[in-house]
Amino acid sequence: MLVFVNNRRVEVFGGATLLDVVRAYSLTSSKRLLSGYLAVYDRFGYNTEPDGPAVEGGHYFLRVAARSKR
Amino acid sequence: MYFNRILIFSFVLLLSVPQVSQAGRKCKKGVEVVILHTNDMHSKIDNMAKLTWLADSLRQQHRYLFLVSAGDNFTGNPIVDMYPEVGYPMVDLMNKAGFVLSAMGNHEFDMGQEQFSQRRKEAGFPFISGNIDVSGSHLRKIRPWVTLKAGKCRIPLVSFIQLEKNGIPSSHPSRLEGIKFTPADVKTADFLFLKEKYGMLVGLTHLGIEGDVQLARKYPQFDLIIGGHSHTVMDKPLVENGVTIVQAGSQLKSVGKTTLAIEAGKITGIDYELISLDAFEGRDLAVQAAIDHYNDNEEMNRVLASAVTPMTGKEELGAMMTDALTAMSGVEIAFQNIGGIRIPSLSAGDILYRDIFRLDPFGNQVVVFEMTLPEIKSLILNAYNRNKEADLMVSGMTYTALVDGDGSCVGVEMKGTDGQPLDPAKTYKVGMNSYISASYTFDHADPGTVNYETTAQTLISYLKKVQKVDYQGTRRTAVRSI
Repeated sequence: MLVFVNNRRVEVFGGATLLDVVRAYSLTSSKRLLSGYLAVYDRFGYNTEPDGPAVEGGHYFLRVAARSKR
Repeated sequence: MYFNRILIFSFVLLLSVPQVSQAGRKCKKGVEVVILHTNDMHSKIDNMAKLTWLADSLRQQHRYLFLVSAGDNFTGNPIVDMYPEVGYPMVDLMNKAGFVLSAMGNHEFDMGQEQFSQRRKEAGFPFISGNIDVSGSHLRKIRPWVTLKAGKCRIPLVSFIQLEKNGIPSSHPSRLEGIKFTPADVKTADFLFLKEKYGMLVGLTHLGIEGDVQLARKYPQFDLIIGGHSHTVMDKPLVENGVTIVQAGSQLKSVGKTTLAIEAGKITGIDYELISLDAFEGRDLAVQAAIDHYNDNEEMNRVLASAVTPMTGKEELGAMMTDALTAMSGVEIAFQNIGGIRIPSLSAGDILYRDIFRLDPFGNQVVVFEMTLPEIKSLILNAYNRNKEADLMVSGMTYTALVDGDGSCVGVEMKGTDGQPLDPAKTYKVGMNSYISASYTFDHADPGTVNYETTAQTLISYLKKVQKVDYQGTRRTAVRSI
């Protein structure tokens, strides 16, 4: 299925989690996501847990996690 | 003429007066209702004592408090998922915490219909969904909606489950035999009478935030949608088409607290906050004792199978893991990356449930691809060049990586288990874990499909089936310098 991370097209298998999506986008980013440095946000601006399901055509954004900024 | 004008004026006046439902007329006195809601707990039980404590303390402050789940209570913690009565610890703890209601999530089906039927009997609360027809299955009827009673007011909650493009929820199709599903936006029309009858309408859905937004756009009759499925951590509500949408993350890290002000049979105010349970200190000691009991239980020490000989390296362990995929997942060839084999060896003798989660602790799912031989070759070649070593253990074939003077793999020789070359004209069904699928570079026209089983579950099923394994000396990969 096709999703978008930081507006870049990412092809992943059907049923992928957001962690799978970020792994397909960038392995380095996925490690930062797992460490808590980065977080995934949806198109509404809400933080979404990495174990959540990716939605076909969904737009996701990687940002420094709120708690890492402090 | 004059009489007619009066009649028309009276009729217009009647239309312009807010319609108060029959139930609304009974529900005159203003009440405050607190709904504490979780979603996608996924068998994570460790914060249940905190949730119980919080719910109990809020009950002392609020006369009408209801603890509900928006689905996916199960799957995600071996302590719960591998319990002999699959999922029972979760149901027991939800009963102790005082849950009054749960939506059906797609992972409620993971344990199979027979086990889920049993868990429903044990649950002190109903599971609801308005777009599931179980009449052709082993399950007893699932109610589409319930009402929560607050004094003389009744608040109707209706539920819907998400469906994939194939028309079923995200679960293995074999677990959904005899069950029919209808899209939520189609089925909702059947339940709009609840708004007329009770003056208000709340969704307790498992559609994900995108599904909830679609529902709100089509049906502004909803006052509130308490959602689940997308694991969205909503620290503030989303208001779409006048409908308030909330969701509280996943894994019981947080709980949503939505307070409804009800006046004259209508919801006149909605206040929402997300409460972090991780940051919470209070806990119910009796529930904590039950959690400790489940976490310390001996179930994980149960014997699953026997290893006739020790498995002394990742080649042998990888052979067992990939054989599980070819035996249980309907694939002809399977791969396992060595980085995902987390123990160096396994002694001869009993193989315990605990061993499987030490060997394969990541919860990776099985992903199935239709692949040509050049595509399989590109996978092996690229995998080798990640760390200049034979990275992929394999079942259903053997391979030799052809390596140049720089240590880079420049070619791959592949053979079937009979030692003969694989069929170049054939497309093979190939299984691998979701980590390889997502993060390895390889050619594949088929985007792949997850089969909603973890690799660890698949290995457990395989070992239960074969009972004895002997992998001493198994070698399916080789490296040759050219």
